[in-house]
Amino acid sequence: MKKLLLLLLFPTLLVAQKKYTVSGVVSDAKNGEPLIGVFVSAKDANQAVITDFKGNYSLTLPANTYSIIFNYAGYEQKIVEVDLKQNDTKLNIQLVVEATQLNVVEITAKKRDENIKSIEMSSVELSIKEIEKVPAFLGEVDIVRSIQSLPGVTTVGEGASGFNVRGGGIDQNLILLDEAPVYNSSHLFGFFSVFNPDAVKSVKLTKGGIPSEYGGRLSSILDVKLKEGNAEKFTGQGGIGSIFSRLTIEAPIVKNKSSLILAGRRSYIDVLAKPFLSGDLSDTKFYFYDFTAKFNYDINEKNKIYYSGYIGRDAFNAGFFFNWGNTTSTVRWKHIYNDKLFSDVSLIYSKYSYEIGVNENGNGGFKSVGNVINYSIKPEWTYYANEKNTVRFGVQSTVYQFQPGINRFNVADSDGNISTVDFSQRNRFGWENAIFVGNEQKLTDQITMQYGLRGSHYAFIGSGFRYDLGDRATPVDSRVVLNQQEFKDFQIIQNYFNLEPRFSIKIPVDSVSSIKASYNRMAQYIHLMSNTAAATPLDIYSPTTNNIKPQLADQFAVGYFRNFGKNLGIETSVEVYYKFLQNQIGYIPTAELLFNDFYEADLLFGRGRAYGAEFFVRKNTGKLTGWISYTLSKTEIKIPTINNGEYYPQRFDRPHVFNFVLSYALTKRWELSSNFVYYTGVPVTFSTNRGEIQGLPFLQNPSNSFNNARVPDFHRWDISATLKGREVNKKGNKKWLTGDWVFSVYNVYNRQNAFTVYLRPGEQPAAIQYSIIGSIVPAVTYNFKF
Amino acid sequence: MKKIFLTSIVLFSVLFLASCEKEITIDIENGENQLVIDAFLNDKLDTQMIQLTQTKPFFGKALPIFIDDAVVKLEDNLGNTYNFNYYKEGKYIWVPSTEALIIGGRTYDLTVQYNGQTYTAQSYANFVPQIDSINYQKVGSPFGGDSSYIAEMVVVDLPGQPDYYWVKTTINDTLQNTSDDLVISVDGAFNEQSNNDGRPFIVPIAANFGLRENDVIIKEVWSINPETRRFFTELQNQSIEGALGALFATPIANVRTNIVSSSSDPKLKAIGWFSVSLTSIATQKLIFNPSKRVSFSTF
Repeated sequence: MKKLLLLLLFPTLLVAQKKYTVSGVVSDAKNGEPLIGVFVSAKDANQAVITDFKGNYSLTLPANTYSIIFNYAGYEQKIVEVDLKQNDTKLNIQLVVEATQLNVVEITAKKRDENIKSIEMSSVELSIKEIEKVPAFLGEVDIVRSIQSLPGVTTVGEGASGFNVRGGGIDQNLILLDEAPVYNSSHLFGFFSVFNPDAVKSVKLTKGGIPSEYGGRLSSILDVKLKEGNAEKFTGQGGIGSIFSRLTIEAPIVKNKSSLILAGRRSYIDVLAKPFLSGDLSDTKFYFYDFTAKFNYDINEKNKIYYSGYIGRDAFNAGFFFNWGNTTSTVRWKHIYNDKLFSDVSLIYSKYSYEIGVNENGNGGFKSVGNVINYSIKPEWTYYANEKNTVRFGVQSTVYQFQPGINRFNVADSDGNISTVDFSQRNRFGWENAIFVGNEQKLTDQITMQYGLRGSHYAFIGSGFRYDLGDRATPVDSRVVLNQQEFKDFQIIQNYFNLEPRFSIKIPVDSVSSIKASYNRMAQYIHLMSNTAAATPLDIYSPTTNNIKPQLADQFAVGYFRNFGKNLGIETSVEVYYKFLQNQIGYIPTAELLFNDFYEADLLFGRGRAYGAEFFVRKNTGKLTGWISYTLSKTEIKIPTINNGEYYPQRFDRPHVFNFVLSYALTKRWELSSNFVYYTGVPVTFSTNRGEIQGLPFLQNPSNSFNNARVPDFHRWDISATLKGREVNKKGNKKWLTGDWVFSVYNVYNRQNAFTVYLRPGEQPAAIQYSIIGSIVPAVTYNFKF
Repeated sequence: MKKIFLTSIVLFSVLFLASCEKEITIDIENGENQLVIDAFLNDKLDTQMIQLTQTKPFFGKALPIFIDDAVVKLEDNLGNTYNFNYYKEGKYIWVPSTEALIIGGRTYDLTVQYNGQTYTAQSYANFVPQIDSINYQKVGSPFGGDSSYIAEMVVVDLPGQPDYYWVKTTINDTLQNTSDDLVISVDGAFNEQSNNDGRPFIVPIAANFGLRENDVIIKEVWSINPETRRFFTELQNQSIEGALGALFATPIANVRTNIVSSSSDPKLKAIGWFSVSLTSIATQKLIFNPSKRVSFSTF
């Protein structure tokens, strides 16, 4: 039946030919870890595929003998003869890491044309090796901060949580850690991300042309895959830095079948700062930690399973307590039915929570806890129908629990007995379901199309309350709550349905260039409530309710991709995009988002639009590697009662963004890197006039213009030098421990970039700029491996 | 709660990243200056005053612009009219003789005629409870150093519907009058949900800390309307406490006005607030007296 359905859907499958399949897994010879994105091509057949996240590939070819070529950056090329005259062949390949970095030039004397040949557009994949080359803040490699140097990606400022993609809010990025969504990607207010780079295998950011298997967020998918532990032998790595230390160990559980990786980090600035803190601050504690683990087990040839989990927390205590963090868990079972069909079933749990308060058990003590929790199941199938069609289909179901505030307040009576007053807010629940199907189809040898459809359903469910809201007295007042109705567990309060079509096409121009175009519609059912200049860990997520409609985005993108250079080693691309967003949230001026069950009454709704052009040049091979990008864009929002109902720039609108990340291999052991960023300043709303009433100063913006000024432009230059440790000792024996030293200088020319600018009224009114980083930040980090 | 968050980021950034502030120039278009009507009238037998000024550009040292050629008139719902005469610095005054200008339970209409335009506003005079007394007590300082005084006014909220009060404090002839000092109360507590109807004012509203021996403290309670409370809340929201306040502050919004302009042209619109109040007042000099105590336990 399933086959019949596929046949009906994809008539091209009907073309019968005598063909056989070569398939298998490509892995690292050293640690047995599967390699993602290996370019597997059949010489003389003009066909190629890329290994998936489990290292799988499958090539179906007309009966013949072929030379199958395996290419992967940083690894030696492998060519294997395969006889496909009579039957399907299983071919597992192990690739060996190149002896030294300097040999890269020779090894890449081959076509590196994935940029122009693959259907993917608006996406960038970074290997951990590339991320490690970006000079890092305090010498610590960071995934989200590296992502921020890619075209189309910006941030509100240094020290702001999250990132913005093509005019999307920080909550519009689906950040996946081994399939589990991560609600807050930041440690230390955004200076570091929650991902421990030692445990990460690959990072892929998709900004457009999003395939149908992904949904639930409008703007991007940041897919972070964790490493699998070394299945051959016990190894480890780690680092000692200025702000935190890391340790990761990998061990086989059952040799070549099962392994474990454990990775942990903890910051110790509080320990180092202790001697300098006195008086009120002597009890100050602030730190973060995270712990990442992945266990995988290859049950047999056909069944593989892994578990991965993350727990992390940031904590600040200084007479008060304030901590926040994520917890995620994923169980994923991969089943291979045959050479052409396999499935993945994922069970996912994710939680974000914060706790804030003072004097938890004492008189006057106060504590508030906020949570977002989700439980999800996602079975999906991939079917390599034939050499022209790869079909993916599946379903996903997610239950969300929102606890905006579990609040307690302690009061003592005259006898000193403490009692607790509960003023918690009501929980809300949501249930999101999706069914998706997509096909990647080679129309001709050259033209490839990817098309799919995602049907999503969302129900605002009980237990909870439905609020019916009336009009506002004036445009700046809360809506009146007319009626409240209580619903029981899983009772449906409001349903929403959306069809989300996805489409991409690649048309080659010549052997070195191609044109790609894509359209996608995305629906998002959760909303981050934040009306401050920068997002904070306290911002709460809200479900879609009867009053808050799902956010929708339609994005069109067109790009031209061309490779240059002797070995096509320089990738270039130009992409333009236009995005239209619906049901975007705005706030009345006095909106109360915390401690308020009726926050929906304080919300406004409007539409957004974002458009821009992205220019990208990337060089992956040779002594000099890195990328340069420039983005010209505009991001606007229109809400009826704000800015006189006209479009105004979003708070993360940055019209010009220029970046480069360059690395130069000076010698076999020394590598130099440099990173530069330039952003137009973000907009802010300033009052233009002032006056006094009852001796109290007030500010006035008579034209009601919103985001009518900009903070000064942001720019910064960072450099780093890495000294790689020797792998062999003087006698020529392999050392058990090798170490690299990383010397970095952040903000080399001591630019004081504005995080925000505020107006100081008074006798001599002024605009005051606040910079979070006001100096050069040098750092030394020692990284080791054993 | 926001303070906790701000303190966290301050600690982190100041201690480790050498965060800094500096004055910069910002490119911004000037907006239109508008007429500001500042009309808070009460039942005291002091001179009643309404001030008319204009807003001025945010930057620069423009001198205040006083409006001296307006016609300012007050009328109550019984038909009594009161003409305010120009005094100086944009101030229009009415001097009560033996009877107060504002009487509880009456509705007042303000009319200002200026520059060919008519501006009107309306306000209702709510009642106010009497301050019984001011208690005080000498206390040690929790942070060491000299001891200080705590003063607490004893006043009970009027029972029934929510009552809105503006609590003003004068210490040694200086009115405590910054946005931070502004105390607006509902039923003697913070808001309508506090369930304090008909009960004594709660400590954070009624008490003043850190006073010195021989200080003279004057406490006043003014009855206001819920709209006036919102006006003050919005005014307070505009004041940003330093850079980190700005970071996590919401964009500055205009404060509301209850002045109705005859023209919808923004250039001709007036802003400001009209409010009528009944007041109660108590004065206390802080002279050491061990028998005087405040109602709540101290450190």
